[in-house]
Order: sequence, then structure tokens, then C-alpha cells
Amino acid sequence: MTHPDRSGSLHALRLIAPLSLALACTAKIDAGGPAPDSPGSGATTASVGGSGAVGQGGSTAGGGAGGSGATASGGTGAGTTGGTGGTGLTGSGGTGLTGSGGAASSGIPLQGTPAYHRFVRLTHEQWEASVRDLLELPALPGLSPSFSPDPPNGTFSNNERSLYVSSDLRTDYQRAAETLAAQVAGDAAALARVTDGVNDAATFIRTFGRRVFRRPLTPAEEQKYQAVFDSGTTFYASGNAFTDGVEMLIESMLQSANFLYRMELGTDGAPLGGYEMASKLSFFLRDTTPDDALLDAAASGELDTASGVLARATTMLDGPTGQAVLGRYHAELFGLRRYDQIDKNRTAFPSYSQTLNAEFQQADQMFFDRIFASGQGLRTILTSPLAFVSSATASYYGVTQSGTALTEVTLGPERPGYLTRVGFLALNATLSDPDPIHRGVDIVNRLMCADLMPPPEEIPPLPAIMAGQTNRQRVEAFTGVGTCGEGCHAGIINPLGFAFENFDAVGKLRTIDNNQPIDTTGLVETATGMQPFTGAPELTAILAAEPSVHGCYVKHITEYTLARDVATGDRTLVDGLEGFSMNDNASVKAMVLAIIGQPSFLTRVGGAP
Amino acid sequence: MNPKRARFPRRAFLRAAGTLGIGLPFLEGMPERSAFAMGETPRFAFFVCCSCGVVQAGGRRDPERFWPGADGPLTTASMQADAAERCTGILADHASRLLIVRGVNYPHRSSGCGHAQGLVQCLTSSAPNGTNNTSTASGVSVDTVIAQQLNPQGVDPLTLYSGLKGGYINEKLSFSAAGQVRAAEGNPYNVYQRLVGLVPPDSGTGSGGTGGSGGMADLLALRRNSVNDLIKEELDSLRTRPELSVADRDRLDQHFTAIRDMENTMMGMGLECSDDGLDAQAIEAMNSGQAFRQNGKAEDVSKLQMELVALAFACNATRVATLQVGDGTDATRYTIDGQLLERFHYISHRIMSDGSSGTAIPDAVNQHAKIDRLRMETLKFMLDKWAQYSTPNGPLLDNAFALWTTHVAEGPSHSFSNLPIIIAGSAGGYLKQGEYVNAGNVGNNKLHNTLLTAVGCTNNGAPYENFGGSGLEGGLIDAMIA
Repeated sequence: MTHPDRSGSLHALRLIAPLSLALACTAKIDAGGPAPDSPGSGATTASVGGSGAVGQGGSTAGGGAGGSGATASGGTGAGTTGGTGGTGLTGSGGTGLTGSGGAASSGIPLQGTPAYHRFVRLTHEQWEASVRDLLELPALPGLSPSFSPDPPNGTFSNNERSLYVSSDLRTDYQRAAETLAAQVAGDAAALARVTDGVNDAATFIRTFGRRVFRRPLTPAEEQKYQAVFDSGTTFYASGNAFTDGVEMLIESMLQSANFLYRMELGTDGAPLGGYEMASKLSFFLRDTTPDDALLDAAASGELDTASGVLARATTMLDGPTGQAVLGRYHAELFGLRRYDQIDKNRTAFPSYSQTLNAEFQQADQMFFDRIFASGQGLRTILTSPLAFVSSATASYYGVTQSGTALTEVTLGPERPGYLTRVGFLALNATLSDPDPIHRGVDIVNRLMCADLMPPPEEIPPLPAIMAGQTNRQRVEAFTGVGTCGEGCHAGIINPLGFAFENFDAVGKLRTIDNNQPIDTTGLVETATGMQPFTGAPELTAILAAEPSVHGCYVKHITEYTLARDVATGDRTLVDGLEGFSMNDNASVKAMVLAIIGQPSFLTRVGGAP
Repeated sequence: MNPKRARFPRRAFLRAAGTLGIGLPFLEGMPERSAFAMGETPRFAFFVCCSCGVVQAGGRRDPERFWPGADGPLTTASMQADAAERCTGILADHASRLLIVRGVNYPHRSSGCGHAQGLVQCLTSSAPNGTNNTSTASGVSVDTVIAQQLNPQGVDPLTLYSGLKGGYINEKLSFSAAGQVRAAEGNPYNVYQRLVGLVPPDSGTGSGGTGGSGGMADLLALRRNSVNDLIKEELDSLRTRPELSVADRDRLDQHFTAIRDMENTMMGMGLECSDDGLDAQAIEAMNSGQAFRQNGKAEDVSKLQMELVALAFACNATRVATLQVGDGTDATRYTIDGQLLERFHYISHRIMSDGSSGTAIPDAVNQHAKIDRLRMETLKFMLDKWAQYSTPNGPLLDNAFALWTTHVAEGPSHSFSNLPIIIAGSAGGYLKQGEYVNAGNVGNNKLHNTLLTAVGCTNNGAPYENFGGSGLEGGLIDAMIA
């Protein structure tokens, strides 16, 4: 039986070593980008003197005299760029995404393996919303929950690698297309909505086809689908040739690759075409197919410039679906769905029932949505006293709350941020006790992007349980200094978890454990060395100021926005965003816009080395 | 457009399932080209991989609670005598159809996450790529080989799941290629829907009625053919674009193949294809509110999946199926004897942890042994059900085998040695029945060589001897062969 190195060296734990890497004064993202716009107002234009992928002016994302915007230089102001002397993604002086004098980046590892696929299948959610919109259904049809699931491949469900058509899914798409086509054809009102009252096959094919394929049909396609339309009368023979044709067309087009995949067919390195960009923006920010207005905007050339793209993106992010899209980002990043699995010893926690799990999840979702909507960022996630509490969960928070609805409250200083909300605490707990190891592992994995090696295989013989031990003492007996687990646990994992030891297995505050006082002290490794803390407020303050924590968060948001792994080619972008988040407390919204304004988003294989 | 009436003479229609008022479709009629119609003797293979090992001794710390008491013949009497201590005894009623095999190991030592690497090797015997929870296979799984050789071209294995998917190590059992895991369906209702192909509601059939003259079904088939041809043509024109990467071409090829798979599946489906005896109400209930996702449902979902596999085989929809029960860090909380237990993964470690360090769980060994017994009850349920299914060539278990195993051999050590292996069915008389044998400390690649040969797979006409890649000792396990 082998043991890890007992010297306490962190051989088994690859943490991000802080790097003293000074950023270039005028780090450029794309030297070949569009020329700067003239000064002006409006979204995403920056101030005088600006350069970079987008020009000048004010920004709705931020503001401030002299400019802001996703890229810019010069001017004061906050938002996505700001600071005297110009900031933004390129530029000198000040803070913002990059700039001279910016803090050294943490050098967070970027070891993903993006495929830069040209064909990215719609996610099941996107499929569901798209068919609702294309067919103008009153509600989501509810067919995609029965679709073959996509095995996870990367952190997020929108990762290009996991989105392909398997045999089972092909069958599912066929069945769904047939069901929807029949549903529309069998209902005169539904038919009228889909056809806009048009009675002419060619017009319908052209209009509907543009919506389904998210671009105009080619003349050859119009001809081919006219034949498909005409065959409807043979296959359905309802007596109404037009209805049969519509049914046949819907059934066929919803199974076409042109519907099922978002495509990028241009040259590598070139900007995406207008229609391609319309699809990319709509699926990312609205989770559905581009509407007629967006397709028209594509047709007019509005989406051919970075500024045009950013203007649209800003509007979409401010819309109702923007919050939902970024809500999913946080739900997946922090694994909120795992709350389904929470359970507690009913003797020890008689007020707990599994129906609370959904409420824990919803409360945390509302927490993240609120932070997004109010233009906040990572620091707020980690330190805010905001919470959503109902009468069912009030006792866990030590507050009173009437009413079953989750209501926004402000908690005390002992409850900073997401890590002290009951969902996280109850998830990372056993049936009866807090679980500092898993609380620590969750922080290390999800907030620090540390690459923890799997624990050694053999479970060593366990020391006897001694009477009167606290939970911390028991855990330390098995994992602390002097044990096999010391290397990973004593130094890295356990201390982070022990900071929350004063929250019990349902996340309620406690001051004693097995009649002894609770010890929440520890040390955490940071860029500036080991830092001591006592309890969650001090630990979360340290994390909120730690470059690698910001680097990890921005790496994830880059992954989500680009819908692919991030790799070495994204280094400048990720480092810039890290500084933006660290030094400017960038909002989630601003970070997303910053990414959208970059070649990584705007061009084919943008960001590839 | 060529008429293709001759290819699809089958009838398909909806009917209400008994008094339940549930409209579940079934098929009847024998397509001209089904294996049964052509006088073949198709063999079927089912692989079940459960989580976290069993309670077995083998020189380690735990008592022996799994293996039968003695090598050699298995009888109902001998297994019943063992049943109090050894959970395999629960299968006593089916002793005459069992082949229990010890002395089989995963051939590649664990170099990181034992659960992920065990799952990877369970059906591939290949050296895992990567050490962490994202480990993947460097070769295809045995069900892929069987599908490629025995299914009509392009028809995939049936890939199923039961239990929780925690997101850390989800499905990792069936691989269509190195590094390409197959998505596994965890909802029995979806399996059923895909299996029989729901007829669209407006085709003149209705629940409670019969309908579907041959004409209607033929028109449906022609229409689907027409749409398939259109989609394939579009895919083809995209595939030939010069700027496509290999990865993109593969992606479109996969879609193209998926269409062909569907066409070929429908072509081959066979006679004894009735859903009589299928627990339709339970299938519906498991779909309601996504109940199949709830903690504690793993055994119930497993039972439904096992019934559906029998239906798939009886219908000749595919020759091979897999079922993964639980993910790599199975968080299932079983309730046994009225007691809600901790997560199974913790119990298998004997501590409150997914790792190697944590506080001890009192009575963990007994709890694990109870979970093993529950899983044997599920396997017994399957064997009871399968005994009711037959093909045109006789009882299903005479023409098939089902293999039950786990992704590590036992919990605390994550050992890959002495994997619990229970096989039911003779696959046409090839496999010994009613025996407990010792394979002799060999890699599971030899187990799979033997099973591949049992169902009629060959390596260029010769017995299959080299599954799992180079560097492994090849050949069959003679102790298993009748």
C-alpha cells in the first residue's frame, strides 16, 4: 500500500502558481481589426483616442466621460473600460481589461481542447424554444425532455464538443418533427399563425425557410423544397393540398441539418457572416432562433461590424432572456442541480424535508440573477449579504420570514456571499454533519480551478473514534498533519472547509459542536503567501481579492460565452478579463460584452493559436 | 423517388394498454428481411455494470458475502444453502442457467481515479487515457464489436442507464470509438418510445382503436424514406466541402449514419414483438415528473430497463445492449430495513467521503452487503421476467447471455482483481450453465473474447481472441465453455 509523500509537499496538487507576469503596455487583441469609429455616443463606442477592435464613444455597459465600451482607450469612466488614460482591452494607462500598471495575471492554466467545430448542434433547450418561436406555439412544446441526453464534455452544457446527433437523437428529432407538423396542420389557428395567412406555396417556403434555416434559401433550395411541399399531398392526402404541403415542409425542415446545426462556413480567421452572427448571438443570449428583426438586421449589414454586434448584444443582455442565459451559467458553474441529492437525518433535523431542495436551488438561482441584473460581479458573489429566504428556510438563516415566497433579505456579516448560503452548505454535508472536505474541494475545484489529483486508491485503516471530539477534530484525525492525507488535505482542502465549520449540516449557524467551541481558523495559499483567516467572512474576503480566483471565474465565463474549451490561444483575453474583474470589479454583463467584442467571438476560429 | 413498399410490410398501430388507458404502441408482422424470417439463429448479448464493487474477502479486510460457497456445480439447493450469507444465493431459482466466474481482472492497473478507469475497462479492456474522472477508453467496447458484426449495418447497441448522474463521472461504459462514449438513456419511457416508433396521432389510428391498414403504414414509411433521403443529400453536400476539418466531417458522418441506423433497425425488427407483460404503468410513472432522476430509484429503473432490453431482443431491434447502474461516485441513498443510508459511494469506502479520508461509517460493511442483496433481487427480477420471453428459436436465455458485474471489484481498495461476474444464459449452448468456475487470474479481455465468440463474432472467420488491444494475453477462458 503506497502513501502520498508525508513531507507535506503538494506533489499531488497542482495549484496555479502565481506568476509575476507584467502585461504589455499596449497589448493588442487584433491588430487587424476594423478601424476606430469616430467619436460619438451610443452603445459600445469609446472615447477620443481610442483604438482597438471597436472605436469610441460612450457605452451603455458602463459610462463615464470620455468613454468606455468593450474596447477603448482614453477617457475616464467605469463600465467595461475606464480609468484615466484609457483602458479597455487595449490601451495604455489605467485599469480595465489590460493596460500598463495592471496587476500581474495569475496565469491560470488554459488546457482545454477546443475543436472549433463549424457545426454545433442546438442544445435541447435551444431546440425547444426555437420550435416554439418558429411555429408560434403558445408555449414550449415539452418534447425535448425526452430527447437523448448529451454526456457532459467540458464544464458547460453548451460546449461544442458535446453537441452532435446520435442514433437515438436522430429518432427523437424525427418523432418530434412529425408530432409538431401534425399538430400545426390539424389546427386551423396554428396553421394561420405559421403561414401568416399566406396561401401561396412559394412565398411560404421562402419566408418559413428563412426562419428555419436562419438565412435565405438558395434558389436551388427553394426549388427542392417546392418539390417537398408538393409531395405532401401524396403522403398526407387530407384533401387540402396546401395544408398537406405545409405539414410536409415543417416535418422535413425541422429534421434538416440546416435547422439542427448552427453553422460557420466561412474562411478561418475571417469575421462571421451576418446571418451566422445573428444565429450565434440569438442562441447565446436568447437561447432561441433569431427572429425576423434580427435576420433583417443581418441582411442590412448591421452585424458586419463589431460595434453593430455589440449594440445588439447589449440590448439582448438587458432583455429578459439575458438574465436566464447567465443564470444557467452560474447554475452550471456551481452545480446547483446537485441540490436534488441533498438529504438529512430527520431525527437530527426534523424541519428538513426533501421538498426544500428545490427551494435551496431556486434561492441560489435568484441570488445569482440578482447579482447579474444589478451589474455586479465576482466579488459580490463571494461577499454579498443578500439572500432569498422563505418561511421554510428562515430558521436555517436565523431570521424571521413570513410567507412561502422567497424574499430578498439582507443577512449579517457572518453570511458573506454564495458560500454561506444553505444550498452550498447543505449539499456539502453528510446526513448529520458538515463536510469540510467537500466544502473545501468544491471551492478548490469551482472557484480556484485547481487541478486536484484523485485521492489514493486504498482507504487506510481508520483510527478509532474518540469520545467528545468535534467534527473538525475527527476529520483532522484522518486527514490532518501526520496522516496519509496531509499533503492534500491539511494544506489545501480542509482549511477552506473548516472556515465554514460554524454552519451545521443544513447550513444553520452553530457555536458549539459536541459541547466544544468551534474552530474556524486556517491558512490559505494566495499569490502573496499563506494568509491566516478566522471564519467565512475573512476567507471570502481573501478569495475575493485573489487573482487566481478571478482568473478561474473569467476562464469559465469565456468558456461559456464562446461555447468551447479555452486554450492557450485565449491567454491574452483571459488575462485581460482577469485584470478587469480584479481591478475594476467588472460586472458579469460587462465581461460577456467584452468577450463578444473580441475576435474570439467575432471571427471564425477566433482565438485559435 | 422509388417506391419502397416491399421493405416495410410491417403494421404499426396504437392500442390502449389493457384497462390503463395508456396508448402504447406495439408492432406485429414479420418483415421479410428479419433474421428470424431468414432462418438465422441470432444471439443476443446484454452487459450490466453496477457501481462500487461488492463485499468480498479475497485476502482483504471484508468478510465473504458474495461468491458461492464452493467451486463447481450450482444447484438451486446449493445456492439456497448459501443464501443467508452469500448474496448470489438469492438467484437460486435460476441456478441451472447461471455461470459465475471468478479470477477475472481489469487488465490495466489504476493510475488515478479507480471508478472512472474501472468503468472504462469494464467493456473495453483498453488502457484508459487520462487519470482523472475524465479518463476515457483507448478502444471500442465489446457491444460496439457485436453491433458492427451482428446488427444490420449502422444499427447501434441499445445503451441504457439507471440511477443518478452526478456530473463527475456519468456514463462511461459503451464506447463507439476510442474516446467516444455513447450517451446512455436513463428514462425507460424514452427507450420504449424509440424502440417501437410512435405513429403520429393523425395517421388514422387512435388510442383505443386499431387502425393502420397496410396502406397507412406503407405511406408513413415512404414519407420517412423521402425525408431521410433529403436530409442525407443535404448532409452529403456539406460533408464534401473542402474547408471541413476531420472532426467536422466525422460529426456529419455520425448524423448520416444515425439515419441509416434507423432505417436498418426498422428493417430488421421481428415477430415476437408484443409488449404483453411489459409493465406499462410503471414505465409511465417513472416518466412522470422525471421520477427516474430521483435518488433511490436506481433499482426500479434498472428493472424497467431490463424488461425493455428483453423486448428489444425479442423484437430483434438490436443484438446487444448495455446498462450502467450508477455513476462513478454513486450518490444513491438506499432505504433498507426502514433505514435511510448514506450515499452508496461513501458506504463502499466505509467513510463519509468520496476520497480516501473521512470519518468512519458505523456498520458500513453490513450496509454494503445489504445493498448487494438488493441488487441481486433486481437481477433475480430480470431473470424471472426474461424467462417469459422467447424468440422464434426458443427461450430468450437459450439464445442470449446477460452479464452482471461492477466497475471496481470491491469498495475500500477499488481493487480491479477478482471482479464479481455473473452470467445468465447459454448463448445457443456455447456457455456452461449451472457452474461456478475459476478463470485463473486473467484479464477481462479474455472474458470478452469468450463472450464475443459465444454470440458468433469472429476475427476474420477465426474465434475472437484479441479483444482489447495489443499487449494483452489473448485467447478464451476454457473454463466458461460448454
